[in-house]
Amino acid sequence: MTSVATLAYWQGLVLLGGFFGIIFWRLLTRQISLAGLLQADDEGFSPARAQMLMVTLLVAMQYLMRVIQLGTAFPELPQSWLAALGASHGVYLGGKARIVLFKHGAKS
Amino acid sequence: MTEDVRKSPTWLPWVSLIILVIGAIVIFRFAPSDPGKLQVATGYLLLLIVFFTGVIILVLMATGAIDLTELLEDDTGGASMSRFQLLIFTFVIALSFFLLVAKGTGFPEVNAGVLTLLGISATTYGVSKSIASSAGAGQTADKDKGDKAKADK
Repeated sequence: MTSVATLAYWQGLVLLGGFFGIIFWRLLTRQISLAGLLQADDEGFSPARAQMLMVTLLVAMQYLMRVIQLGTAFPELPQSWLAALGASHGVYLGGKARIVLFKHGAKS
Repeated sequence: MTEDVRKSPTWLPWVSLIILVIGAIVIFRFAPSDPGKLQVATGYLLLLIVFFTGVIILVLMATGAIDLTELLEDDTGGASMSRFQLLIFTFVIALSFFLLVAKGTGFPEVNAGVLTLLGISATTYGVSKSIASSAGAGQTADKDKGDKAKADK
């Protein structure tokens, strides 16, 4: 008879796989739109968003690779990675705040 | 709202409930005397409850009753980078968690690195949202001032 642990494994696989599958399918078929992901509000292409996308994908992939390699526990992240990620997100938020302040500063 | 209700399959919760009730009756009918068996049987029942809850949510997402079209959109209608990165990190941590549990090393300890990673990600989303809403408030205030000036003239 199937053990509780085996059943839990397969249930987790089905639920997580189903959830990820639905999200990825919707992204691929554009039912979840990524239009304007790299564009600032009124300014066209946004370098701040582009660098954040690259750093985010890089850190996420590296982290997943480390989990697969280590396989026993969540890996410790080097401080330099966290600093890079924080700086990248800070640049994005700074750019966004600048656009908002500039808009209203120019109007008032 | 009416459209959402129409889209959702109403039979699914009932089928799940019936299966759970039958499972509970079978478990407590055939395994009440042995505490070990009862523990295992209760484990199976809990697994069924979690599984059917998850399946109901998945079916509602797949049929469109849970609308995902605006999952990554911000207030302006374009895709939001802060939402997208939060989605990516949530996926990565969830997948990592599942991989570690599946390898049979027990319940993994959530270390400071994971919390920092998710903290940076979620904080970015929160701050981005507050910047967007303050921008919206500013535009409303500008519009109000303009309306008032027109009314004064």
